[in-house]
Amino acid sequence: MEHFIKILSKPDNIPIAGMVLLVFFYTGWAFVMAIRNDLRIKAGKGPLELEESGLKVDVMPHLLKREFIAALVVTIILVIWSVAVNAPLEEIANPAVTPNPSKAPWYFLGLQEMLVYFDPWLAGVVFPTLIILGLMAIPYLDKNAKGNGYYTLQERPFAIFGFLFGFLILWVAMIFTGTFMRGPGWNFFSPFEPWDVHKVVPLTNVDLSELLDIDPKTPWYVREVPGFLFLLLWFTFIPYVVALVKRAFFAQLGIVRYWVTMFLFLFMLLLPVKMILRWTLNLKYLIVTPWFNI
Amino acid sequence: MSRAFGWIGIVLFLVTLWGFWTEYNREWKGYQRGFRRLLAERTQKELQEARDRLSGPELEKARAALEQAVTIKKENQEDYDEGVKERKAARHIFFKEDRKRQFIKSRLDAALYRYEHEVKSGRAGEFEKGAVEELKRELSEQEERAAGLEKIKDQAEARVEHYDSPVDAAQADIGRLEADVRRLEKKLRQTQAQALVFPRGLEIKQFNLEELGRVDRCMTCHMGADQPGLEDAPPPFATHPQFKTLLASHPPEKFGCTSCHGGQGWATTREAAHGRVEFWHEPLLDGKFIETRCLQCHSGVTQLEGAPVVMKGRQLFEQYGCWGCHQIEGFKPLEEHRVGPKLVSLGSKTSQKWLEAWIRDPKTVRPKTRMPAFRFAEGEVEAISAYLASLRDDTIGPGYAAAEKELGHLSQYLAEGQELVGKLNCAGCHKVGAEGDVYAPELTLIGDKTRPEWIYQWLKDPKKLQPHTHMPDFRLTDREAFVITEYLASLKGQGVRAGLQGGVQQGGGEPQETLIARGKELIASKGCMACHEVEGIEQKLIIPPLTGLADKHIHELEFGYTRPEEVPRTVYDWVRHKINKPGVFDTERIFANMPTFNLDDSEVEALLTYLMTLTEHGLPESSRSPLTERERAIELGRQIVREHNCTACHKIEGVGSDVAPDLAGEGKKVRQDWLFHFLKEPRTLRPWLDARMPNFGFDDKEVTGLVAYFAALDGEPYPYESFETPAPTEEGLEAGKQLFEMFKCLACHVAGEVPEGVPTENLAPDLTQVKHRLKPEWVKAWLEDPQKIQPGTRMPTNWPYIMGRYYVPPPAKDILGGDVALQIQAVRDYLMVFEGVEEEPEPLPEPAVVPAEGEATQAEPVQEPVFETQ
Repeated sequence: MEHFIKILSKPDNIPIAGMVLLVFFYTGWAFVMAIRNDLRIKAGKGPLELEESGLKVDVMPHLLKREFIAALVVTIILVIWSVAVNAPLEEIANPAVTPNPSKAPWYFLGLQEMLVYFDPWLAGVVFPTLIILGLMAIPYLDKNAKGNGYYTLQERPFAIFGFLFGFLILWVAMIFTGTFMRGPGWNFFSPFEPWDVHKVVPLTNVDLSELLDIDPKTPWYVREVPGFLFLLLWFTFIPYVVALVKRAFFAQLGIVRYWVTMFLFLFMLLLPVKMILRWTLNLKYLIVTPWFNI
Repeated sequence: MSRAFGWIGIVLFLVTLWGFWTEYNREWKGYQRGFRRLLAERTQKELQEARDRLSGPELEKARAALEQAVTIKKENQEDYDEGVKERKAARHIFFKEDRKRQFIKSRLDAALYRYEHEVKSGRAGEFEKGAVEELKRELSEQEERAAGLEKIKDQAEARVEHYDSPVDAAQADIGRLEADVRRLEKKLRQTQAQALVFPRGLEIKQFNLEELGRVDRCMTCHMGADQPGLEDAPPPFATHPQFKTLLASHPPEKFGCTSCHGGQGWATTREAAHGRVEFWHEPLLDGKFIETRCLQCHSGVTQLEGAPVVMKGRQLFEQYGCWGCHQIEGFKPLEEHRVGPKLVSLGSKTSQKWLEAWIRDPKTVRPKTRMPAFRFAEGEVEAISAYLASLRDDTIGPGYAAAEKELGHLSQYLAEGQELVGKLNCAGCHKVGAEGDVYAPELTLIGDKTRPEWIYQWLKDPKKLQPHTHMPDFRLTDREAFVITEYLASLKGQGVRAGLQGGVQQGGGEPQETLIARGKELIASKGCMACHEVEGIEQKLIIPPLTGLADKHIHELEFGYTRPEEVPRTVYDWVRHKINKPGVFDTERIFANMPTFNLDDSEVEALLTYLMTLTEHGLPESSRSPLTERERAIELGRQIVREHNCTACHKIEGVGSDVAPDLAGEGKKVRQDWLFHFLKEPRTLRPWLDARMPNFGFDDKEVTGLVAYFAALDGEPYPYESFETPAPTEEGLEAGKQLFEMFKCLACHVAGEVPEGVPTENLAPDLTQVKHRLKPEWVKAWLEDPQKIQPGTRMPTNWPYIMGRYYVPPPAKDILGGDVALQIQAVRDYLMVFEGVEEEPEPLPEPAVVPAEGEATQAEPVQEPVFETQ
């Protein structure tokens, strides 16, 4: 426990711990509001926000007073923080020595965590690009008009849980892991384990073709057929099955929107899938070519 | 809502106050306020002392004088006032007339200019000449008038001064006596103004040393470090303890503080600056480890004043052959062959059983050996011993056999051999019994180990068996070598060690051939080759170099199963434990091949201190002081001397034994060409003694190094020396010969052949050697006063020096007019051409002239060296 507290209370980790708490607080708060609204909608009363939209007060003094108090409280917190906690300076910079562990700024730790499972061109280039494009595409893909201006859960389950999975599990949780559970040598440490620089873990991983006992000397385009097949099925078969099962969803979006949505969603799922394959089968790569590996 | 505002406002105010309070309370600010208080207190004390000193009779006297002068002035007030009035009038008139004089003078100068101008423009000066004459006359009149008035003014002034000057003088006296108090009062006002509760001007003081990449703020708290006079102040305000010696030659403006002391120069808190804090790898060096920093600049030397520990460590590193395995960038031993003997012909030298005991644990066989103990698995020792015992040399033996046949084994040989061992000073290097040095292998139980054939061969020609050995060749005769062999071979132990001779049982029934083959493999993989040369085997061990050891990050070191309480997690503790017990950090995955050297605590600390100098973050080249030519020569010479253990017999630079002559002043004494040849191939200078300078087989580099070393020690030029060339006259030589005979030099000194029937302890060196060997200036100095050059010598002072002048002994009164300097020169000149005498010297060993002073030293010689003075 003391090790965990030590890591948690490092000056540069304090904001991250605070951020995690804030994220969960506001997510929980949104859930509370959403459930209350869902109950109201079920009872036929409509969301609370609709009822409150008729009540109005002046900005001055009602809003400004609250904002000013908030500003003062933040000032107090900043003064206390700056006096009580020293700047997290470490060793004198030495170009010949990299610190161990070498960590990216906290907001990039999710990307750095992906590097454990994917090649840099994927984890560092393709994934971030697709994340940004996907977030930009959401307004054009979302045809569900409900939930505008009020909290709700039941009316937009796919949108909310799909986003929360991507944001909380694949982004915030990975930042948390990267900050608090990745120690020297980028080894994984459970929260209460001391960070031992000499920790040794088995790191022997194999490719899919090796798992399938394909002779490594065969040409790569023959050897990697199972990997390509897996990806092909992943992006075609699964959307097909889902469309069959969720016919209304498919009909609402139309074929193009549906497939783009599914592609983005499945691409996102590639990350946890690869992680699970790594943990269970020690899988290194699905596909190994002379130019890139997936 | 408003109440919330109020509370938050109060909290914000308090938080702000707290912020100011922490700023006021910063550690260094507290120290600076403390230092200012200290200065104020000390000034107060000094002031009190100065005041106490002041109330003496001298001040009383000065005050009485003042009072008296004032009274006199008051009593004659009328006269004084009148004088003042008169002085005023006289000054007024004088200044007026003097001003007039100045005007006339300047007008004259202008007129002269105009006149000169006229002359130059060819108008002959007719026009202005009259004006010039007129002004000159006017000026001299005015000068006369002013001088008269000045006299009057001076008289008037003197009248006033008569009353004023005693008052002024008394006041000046008092002022002088009170100067200290006044000064201290002023200082007290200043220091008190600085020692307020909220003082102004507290600031971080720092040396920003761009070249060294350091910013040292130590003086922010150690404010008195560069101020002498605060030696007794409490820490951290005291003066630097080595203010005069170290700080003066290493000014902090140039080197900062942390260059030598370590620590975090940037830090402004006590703990961060001194303590072992995270992320700072250069903690403050305490006690002996501070010496590690000396070598950052003074790295090329093996002797450094004020750094004995680190120098000892460096020496240990060299002597124990650590460099055989661990490379250090820049470290080069003087002789690059390995520290241990070459492993040849061991089968002809010793027994397999002895080898087994030796290899298993050398220290039990020979407690002072430098050979370390390895950690062997079962059967490994036997295999290595078997291999080594299989190395034989058939050329060893015939020599001994011949001598044995000729001389036989007589019981008297033992005593004879023992005596010879004593006379040759074998104990200078070898331990024999309780006595002797551990520079070379102990001989106490040599009979258990070494076969007589081998000993004989070794004594006759050591270099033949071990080409790189330091054992010198004593030029022993067959008989001498044989009796010594007889004696040494008789040195055998009882009990445990006695069982070391003889054969071995075949362990485990392994055939000898496979045992030998396995031994050969082991020698390659255990690292034996780091210290021993073995023909036909190549080293198979990879050992990390030690360069940058002190910079090692703690995470780069494996602490094995040790707990932090046993081995604190610092590089120092890691290295210390590793030296003490190399296997201490072993685990299932790690096995340390390093053997145990069994060093004592002080040796471990010294070696550790040396190893901790191995940093790659040393000071830049520009801040080091390079060795001068002379220092380099001395450095090299000292290494050679140490390497060959010259101090076993000689005293060099005040250290060493009295067995052979003290070599102080050798550079001034002997000629360099003679020394070169002597070192190359020593001749016995005193053939009547058993002791002799052996032949070390120096190579050219070593010989020139030694010659340059002795020259450098005495400040003599090298390699071209110059000395006075004696140019004797016929008359001078004749006088020299006369004196030479009169002083009966040959009563003790040998000339060519050693006289027979003379007690050898009274013999002195051969005088026919003087011209080749000694420098003429030195011979002169020696004749003048031998006691000055070598106190305690039995060489008499022939020209006694009493009460500040030399006396010519009565019989020599008439030679060369009784001039001492000429006489000494004459004897010297005669010696420089001396080739020996025809006639037999008088066989009287009686000292010729006994001077008054010389008597004491002659009656009871201070030291009785085996070798006598030249």
